[in-house]
Amino acid sequence: MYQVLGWTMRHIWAFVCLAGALSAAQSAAWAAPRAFQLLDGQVVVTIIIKDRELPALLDTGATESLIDKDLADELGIRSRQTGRTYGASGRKTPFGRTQDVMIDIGGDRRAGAWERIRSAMHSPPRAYAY
Amino acid sequence: MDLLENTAVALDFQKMTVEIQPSRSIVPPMENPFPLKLNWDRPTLLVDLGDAEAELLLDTAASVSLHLSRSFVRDTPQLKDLPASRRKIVGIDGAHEQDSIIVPYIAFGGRTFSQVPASIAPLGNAPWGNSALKSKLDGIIGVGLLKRFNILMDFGRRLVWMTALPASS
Repeated sequence: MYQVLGWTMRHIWAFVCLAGALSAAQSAAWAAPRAFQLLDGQVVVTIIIKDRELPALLDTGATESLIDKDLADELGIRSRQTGRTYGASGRKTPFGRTQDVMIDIGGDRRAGAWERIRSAMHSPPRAYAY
Repeated sequence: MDLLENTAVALDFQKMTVEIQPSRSIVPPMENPFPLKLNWDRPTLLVDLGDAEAELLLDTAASVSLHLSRSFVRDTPQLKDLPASRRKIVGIDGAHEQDSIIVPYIAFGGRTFSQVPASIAPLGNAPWGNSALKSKLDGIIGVGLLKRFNILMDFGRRLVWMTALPASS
């Protein structure tokens, strides 16, 4: 299971947080229902960043969006560490800020739709499993 | 600005589909909705634990059924003396063990559940620094329970519709 998680996080860690940073005026609407998966009990959707399809956690419990630092680097998204945040155990883990990133969350790609993605600096980050 | 401000998110756990629309464009279901509170921009629901009420976060990235804050359990008479066991969990900050109890009764979304396993830990793990500490959460409802419903979270109207699925779903 842990291997699956590791693989999952390596490939998915665009952490789509529903309470994140998309402005209302630019909010993307999916014209039709889109499939999601339950991976390790978490809701995972497909997004596109820089023409790459990536699985992403749909996280209504998060206030910001996250992307794995390694994945951000691989996609050419600049980031810098700005502090630390808390994980499920209450321990702190480093995080940073990325440059503005355009994300397609359902066939409606809009420049600047997402203001920012927070970037987890730990590699590989692991799934929230409270 | 919140990602979901003025949007509605529909999760159909039977068809395994998700839909995000502007709140104004959805046609509300016929069923009665429940109030959706935004606690530091996160959707919460008041649930009935029998003799107690709890404000729980609806969390689509939490795989467990139920997670309760340690302080809430400590302050809730019908929970604080329940026997606890240890279970391993994995978070963004690595693997660790947490206490777990069996909650005798919980009701929300028009449905009642009994004997629900719940992990226990401080919820000072609020996502982003001190801001999270300002928000009081009693716990989290994870996908283990959310998948028993089809859910429409309307962040614009601050309402949630929950349609219970057959027990086998």
